[in-house]
Amino acid sequence: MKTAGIVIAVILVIALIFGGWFISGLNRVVRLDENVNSAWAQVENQLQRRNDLIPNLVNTVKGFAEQEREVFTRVTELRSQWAKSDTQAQKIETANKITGALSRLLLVAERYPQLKSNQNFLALQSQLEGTENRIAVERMRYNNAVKAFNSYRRTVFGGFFASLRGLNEPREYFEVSETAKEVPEVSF
Amino acid sequence: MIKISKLTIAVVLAVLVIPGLSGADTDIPSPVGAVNDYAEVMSPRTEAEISALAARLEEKTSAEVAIVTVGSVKPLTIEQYAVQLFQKWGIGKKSKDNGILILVAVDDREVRIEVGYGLEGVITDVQSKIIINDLMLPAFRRGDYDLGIASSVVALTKIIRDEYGVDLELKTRPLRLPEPPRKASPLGGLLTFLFFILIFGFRFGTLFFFMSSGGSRSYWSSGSSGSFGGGFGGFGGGMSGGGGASGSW
Repeated sequence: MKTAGIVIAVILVIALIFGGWFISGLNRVVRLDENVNSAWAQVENQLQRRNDLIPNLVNTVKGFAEQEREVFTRVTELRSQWAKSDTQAQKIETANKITGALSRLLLVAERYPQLKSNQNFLALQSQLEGTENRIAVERMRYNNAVKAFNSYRRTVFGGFFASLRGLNEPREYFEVSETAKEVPEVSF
Repeated sequence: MIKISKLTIAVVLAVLVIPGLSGADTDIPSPVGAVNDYAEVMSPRTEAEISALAARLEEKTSAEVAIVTVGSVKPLTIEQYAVQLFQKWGIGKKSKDNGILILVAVDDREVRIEVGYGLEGVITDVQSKIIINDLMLPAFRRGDYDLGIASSVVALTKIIRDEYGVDLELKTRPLRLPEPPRKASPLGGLLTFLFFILIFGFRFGTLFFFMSSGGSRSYWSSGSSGSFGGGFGGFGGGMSGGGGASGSW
């Protein structure tokens, strides 16, 4: 009787530990996945904020550099393309293109001394600079969250828990494209 | 049986306690107070004045200001260093994210004002940029870190004070002791004078000591210890997301 009692107790303890481990594993994968989602929401906020600056920036530059129509249409086109993109991959791709187009716009602006000393333009430029930096920060945090999720998914039990939760795909990193890396230093 | 279950526990614990991923942690120092002059470019007197101003701001509005001078932030950019330091120190209150970091990299000749999430609406990037361009860079070019840093803290404090609508004394004591009257250095006198102009531009008030409305505690730590009340208890756990501005001289 006594040994039977011990056996039952041991089985109970093991069941308890196993259950706790199982639940915490499931919760962990969900939590990591939610972290990625909220980090992405922040990235999107900042990308949206940059897009909201575009019309103002384009109008200001236009007033001084009418003939650079090509650059304006490119930026404006991409902006509406962003509004239409649904998937995360599309959004990342468009965002990288916008980064490239905006840096070209600023490069063009360098050629117009009057524009460069325009107060409105200077304010927009520093807003844009700040927004680009915010995007960089949120992108870094997003990528860290993705890294945490993806690494857990690749651990021995992590993949098992993830599949139980239907999270069968690794999350996508926000890579900066090569063209976007060539952002010129915005100098005042 | 018991041996096996112990082993199981050990294995299970090992699985559960998989260490979280720590981001690339560069050697970011720990805070010693509101003013952290690691590059040793500020006078003790200025440190004390700024610490006292930061303490007043924190008391009235709960916003936290940290001033950090370092030699170099390499291999990071000043923006990356600022956001990592901000996060590590947790400047600002946890739920409000109302912190500000003023970071000066002396050898890199770069400066950044990093604004916490909760103050982004109060201190815009453009305002940060103007403070850097108009107050900090000219002083730094002359090597006058005391003036550049102190005036930026005063300007930022004023913006926050006006937003919160609190009564807060911005004036500090003169950063430099008056020169002996016989042969005053024209430049030093001019700088002190300029600083006063700046302060007076913001607010008229009593010249020297300022007591809290509670009246019990003097804000001025005696002498120039530069310490912060009764020791530094750390910041409140606030976060920033890259708001603010940078500049170089």
